[in-house]
Amino acid sequence: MGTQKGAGKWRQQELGLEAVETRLQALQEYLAVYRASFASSGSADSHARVRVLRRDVSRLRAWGWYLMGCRDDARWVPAVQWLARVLSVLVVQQRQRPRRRQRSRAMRHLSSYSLVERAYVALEDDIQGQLLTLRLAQRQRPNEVRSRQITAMERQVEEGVLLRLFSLPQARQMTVICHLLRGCMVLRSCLGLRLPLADRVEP
Amino acid sequence: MLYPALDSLPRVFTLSDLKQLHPEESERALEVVLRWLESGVVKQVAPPRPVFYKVVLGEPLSDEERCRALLRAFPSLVMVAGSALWRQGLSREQDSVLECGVAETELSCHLPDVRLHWRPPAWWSVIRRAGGIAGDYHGVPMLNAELVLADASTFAGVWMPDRESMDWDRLSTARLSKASDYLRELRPR
Repeated sequence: MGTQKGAGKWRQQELGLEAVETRLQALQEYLAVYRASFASSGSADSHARVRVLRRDVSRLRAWGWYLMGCRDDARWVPAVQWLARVLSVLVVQQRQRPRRRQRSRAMRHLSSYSLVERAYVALEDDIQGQLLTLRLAQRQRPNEVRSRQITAMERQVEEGVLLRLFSLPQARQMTVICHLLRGCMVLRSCLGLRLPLADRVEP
Repeated sequence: MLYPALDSLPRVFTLSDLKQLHPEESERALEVVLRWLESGVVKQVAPPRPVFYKVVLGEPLSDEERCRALLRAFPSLVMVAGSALWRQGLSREQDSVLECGVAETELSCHLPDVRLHWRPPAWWSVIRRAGGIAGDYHGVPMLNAELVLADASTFAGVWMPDRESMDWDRLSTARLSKASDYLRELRPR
């Protein structure tokens, strides 16, 4: 029973990490294009997009680092969790502005919670996209291997939904965790230490 | 409750758009799209990415719709080759296929008249260093003329117009030489 529970938790952590890594890859690709556009045009709009995206990337990377720490039972995780509980009372809840008052979708500032939640939703959508491709092929040419793949993916989607709905910490605690670890990552970068979840698209 | 008709969706949509129309029935979205795909009323832009377009007989996708679909499926999209030259008015020969560079290695795309080319991750850094983006076309960033030429000579397999149909007066030799220098390090061996 304990082993089953442990395996389930491990699978959820892996799924969470996969969501973060997949979303990071996409955000870094957007960032690479926006930075290239900004370098060519120098427009204020491109600059604002680059700033917002860089902030999103660093917070998401911080969350990924936290997930890796939880998976590996890192010694610093309980301290970070304690700090998150204590400092969360100081976090001011972001007021969501109506969409019509925001200048553009690309420039929207997201809370750490929304950022992470979107990463999890994007992973669910990606897996479902793969499921569609597989199911379509299965209806045309059924085979046993594909059928097992479909079952595994359906389970992955269900786990992803459960993870998003029930396993995320409170929004305020998540904000503290992301900001704390982002600060640590800046410090590590200044000291020349390797950063977790390093960029794949460009430095 | 009835699931939203296909008509209530834009020509290009994602699985997420469909779920947002009826959040309380979002788990049925997959089933509905599968039915649409099987009946051929929608196509998946670039399987397995969850982006789709509606198939309307006698109404091909406009350039704007193709660009929107590509942008939603490929975050790293940049227009290259003769496609970028034609849309910047630097060539009199129109492309028959829209050509773009992407960082993703899975290049299959079901959009009509679109060809994707893989580029290494460092390519985007080179574009940034060279200041190589010349505006955008329906949101898709386009390489400037000098980088288009340097890119075409570095990576084979892209369509370029005839020399005679290009407006050479608008190209800078200095920038072309610089762009070639930047891209030389990425030349496939």
